[in-house]
Amino acid sequence: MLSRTLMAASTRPIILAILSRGEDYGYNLIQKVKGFSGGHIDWTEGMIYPVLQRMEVDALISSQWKISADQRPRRYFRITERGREELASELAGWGNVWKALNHFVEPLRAEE
Amino acid sequence: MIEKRGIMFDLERSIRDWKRNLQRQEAFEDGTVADLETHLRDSIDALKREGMPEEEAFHEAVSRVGGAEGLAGECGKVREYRLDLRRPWRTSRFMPALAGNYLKVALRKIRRQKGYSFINIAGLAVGIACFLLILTWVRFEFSYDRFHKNAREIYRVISEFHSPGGKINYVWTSQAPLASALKEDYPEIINSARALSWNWTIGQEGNRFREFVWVVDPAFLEMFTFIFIQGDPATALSNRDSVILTETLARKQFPNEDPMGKTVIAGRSTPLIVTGIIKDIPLNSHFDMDAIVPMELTREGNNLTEWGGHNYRTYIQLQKGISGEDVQQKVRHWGKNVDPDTQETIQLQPLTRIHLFALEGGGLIIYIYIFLAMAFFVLLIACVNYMSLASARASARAKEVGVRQVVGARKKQLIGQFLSESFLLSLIATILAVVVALAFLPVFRRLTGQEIQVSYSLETLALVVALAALTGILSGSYPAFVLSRPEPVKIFKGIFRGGQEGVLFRKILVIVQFALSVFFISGTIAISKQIHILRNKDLGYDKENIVCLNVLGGIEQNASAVKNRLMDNPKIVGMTIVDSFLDAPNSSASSSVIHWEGQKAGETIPWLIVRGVDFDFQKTFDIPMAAGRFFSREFPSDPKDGMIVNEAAVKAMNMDSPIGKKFHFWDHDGTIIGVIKDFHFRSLHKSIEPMVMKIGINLQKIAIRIRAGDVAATIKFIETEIKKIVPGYVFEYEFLDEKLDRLYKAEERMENINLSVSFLAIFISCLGLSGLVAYTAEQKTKEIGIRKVLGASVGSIAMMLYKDFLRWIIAANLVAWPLAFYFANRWLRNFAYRINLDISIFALSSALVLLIAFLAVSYQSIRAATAQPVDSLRYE
Repeated sequence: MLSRTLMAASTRPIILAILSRGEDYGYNLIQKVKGFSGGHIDWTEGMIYPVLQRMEVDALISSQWKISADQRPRRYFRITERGREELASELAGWGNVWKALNHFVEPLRAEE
Repeated sequence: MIEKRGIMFDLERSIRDWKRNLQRQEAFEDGTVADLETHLRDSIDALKREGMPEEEAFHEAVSRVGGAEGLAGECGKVREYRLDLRRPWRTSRFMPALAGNYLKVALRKIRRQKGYSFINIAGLAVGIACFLLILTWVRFEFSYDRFHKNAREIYRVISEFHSPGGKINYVWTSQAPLASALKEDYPEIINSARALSWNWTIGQEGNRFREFVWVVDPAFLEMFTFIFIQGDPATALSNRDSVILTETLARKQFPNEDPMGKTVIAGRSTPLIVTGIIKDIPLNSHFDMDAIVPMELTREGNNLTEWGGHNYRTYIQLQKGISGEDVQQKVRHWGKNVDPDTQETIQLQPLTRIHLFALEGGGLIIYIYIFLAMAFFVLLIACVNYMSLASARASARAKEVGVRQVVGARKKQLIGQFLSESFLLSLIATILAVVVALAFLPVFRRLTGQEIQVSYSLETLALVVALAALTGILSGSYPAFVLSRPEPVKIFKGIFRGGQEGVLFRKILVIVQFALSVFFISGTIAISKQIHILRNKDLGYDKENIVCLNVLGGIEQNASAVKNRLMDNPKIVGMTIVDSFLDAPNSSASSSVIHWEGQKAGETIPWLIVRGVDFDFQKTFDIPMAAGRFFSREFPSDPKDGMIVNEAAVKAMNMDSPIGKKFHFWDHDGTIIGVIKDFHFRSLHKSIEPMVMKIGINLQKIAIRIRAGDVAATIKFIETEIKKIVPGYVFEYEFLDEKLDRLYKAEERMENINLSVSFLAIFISCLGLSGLVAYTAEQKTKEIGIRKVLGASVGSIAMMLYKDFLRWIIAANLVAWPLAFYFANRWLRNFAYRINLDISIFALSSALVLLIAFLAVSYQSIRAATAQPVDSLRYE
């Protein structure tokens, strides 16, 4: 399970990363995250919608309503140019954090 | 199985319920709800595919999606990035686009409800105009003496005489040497000057009039601000025979030439050379001066280093930033330096307080407070009209309020709308009021007896705007609160009955209005009764038909010749030369210089009025003697030795048989030869004080008693005869009763203003009352129709309408009486002789108010009562 803070920090980059592969809708986004993380990343499902709205307000993603085959209205989200930039900078950031973590964790293991 | 189906899980219904719960959260936009619904259905489908029963799948999905409140909170935050932290689903506080609509609606209301708008605007305009006028007057009174650059640093030295009873007599003159002595002794006092105010004949030969001539030390010109048109303030008074003229006097004396260096004759034959011309003294000054001459001029007649009398106005100027009170503490007992036993103390009176504050406490300032309060009350009455009418009409506007609420208006917005409406009305009223006030300024000047000047400045404009705003808030706040209150659902269902809930409030408002009206009217009646008493009280002598000549001007040497010549005319009853007329005494003696035969140790008279008279005083004024005799030419010792006291003096000295007793005042020793009956020699604010009379002291005025009838001819005769004997005599006369009337100018002014204010108060109140009656009649249209159909008479219906109002007005009387009694009583304490406040005053004013109110409501109620029932019942 992720800590609250880590979850809060990671939600937007993960959504951006998924959408960078192609447009998608809320329910599916959740399923993808859950499926991939094997349940380690467990979002309160409804909470994704305020986040998506906020990202739309910030112009990172855009949305479009489509009626799916089962006659349900779905809002499909698509990453914007600004979203891609944001994703790149997030990735760089996460990469740096990851590198630093690895670096400082290594020596301890060596001493064991 | 059928029963079981009944309680079987219905997915669609559960989802609908769940959705309804979401929709209660205003933070969700419709899109979000749709998002969540699709999500939920997807989720349920997935769970069902995994084999979960439908009901369980629903609950699981719901719990995964999360609680409505939490989600709504998050959604609410999404757009919460505006500066005002406004929730996205809330309308903004101020929508400029609506301002136009507010204005349109407000103007439409004014146009459509003409009567109602007239009452409001007229009432407010009259109230504001009244307030503006009084405010202008107050500002004028407060501006007195402030035009002097050193106004804040200048003080007038007041001498205080303490009597054993703790009473203090204040005199605003001091001993001659005090001014320079104070300046020498205290470094805080950087300048000082003496002044005498003379009513002196001055001018070129043949063009001489009595003018106010001030005799001053040169420092006087340094301390006070006079604007020199010609001449140099530093040297204008250096020569003994110099004179500074005001612009008006200069023009009067030298219409076509440059007055500088020219000669004018003052008094009998004192030539003075014009050394300066100053701008006229502004009206808002306590100085009344037409010319200024140097103190040097008086050196021969007066000993300027003598500590004897208190004859000089003394002004001092403190260093900037020094507190007058501190200096006051230091100089208070300065008099002990001259006479260690003196009972006299010194007070420093700030220049800017001279006009408004009487030394004994009170003064004009009391009237200012009273009139300010009145102005405020009149304004309040006008605002009350607005309040009561607007709240009564709440129901008429309820639909508009409902519609506005439905399309998203918030309470604050509605309050803002109604407040801006009252602001608009008060603004219109203020503009009207300014016009009215300017138009009535001349009338108001007469009422106040003051040449009030309006200062057209930014400050004035700010005051007017502030007044408009105050009126707007005062009158608009309650209606705004009431009008914005109803809930739209109630309005459209017809449950809201506006106007009902404010009934008590409106009753109170009407009571307040009429209580104030009764208060003012009874005040006016009390004042006019008191003035009647002042004018008609027996003064102890006959004040009618006495001609007062202010100047001796050479008559004194020929007094008997003039007298004989005048007495030849049967129209002339008597003539006497006196020191002052009977409106205000001229001189007095303090306790230290009064002694009498039989005086016990520690026995004193605090204060003794001294009157200089001649042999004919008693005859001319026809005042009876209580004992002994008056001065007589048959007793050659009278002029030197004879003294006459009044009954009050005998009482104050505790004398059993005063005749023949020795008496001493100032440096005069004499014998009491008679006791004159008490008579009034000053205004009736004061009771009769102890007095002594002596032949020949300070004689400077002439009183002539004539017979009634053909007064003009008699006066012409007096003038011609005097001029025959004393050529060049400046003949200016006045009647004593007119002089006496002037003593009560303040009271008369109060009466005038009170009368006008009462009139305005009752007028505005009746405006509002008739509006309320019209409203009630409108509300009861159907009731009136039905009653008429059933045979009610016009009278009974009219009665039904104003029975209610009359009850409130009677209640108002009950409130007003004690208040009016209290204040009238306090005011009357200013007078030594006053009326009794009896119930008739209040009963009369109440009757008056009832009558006027009755007339005011009659029109509306009779109109309602005479309407055709078919008109009022046609609906439905």
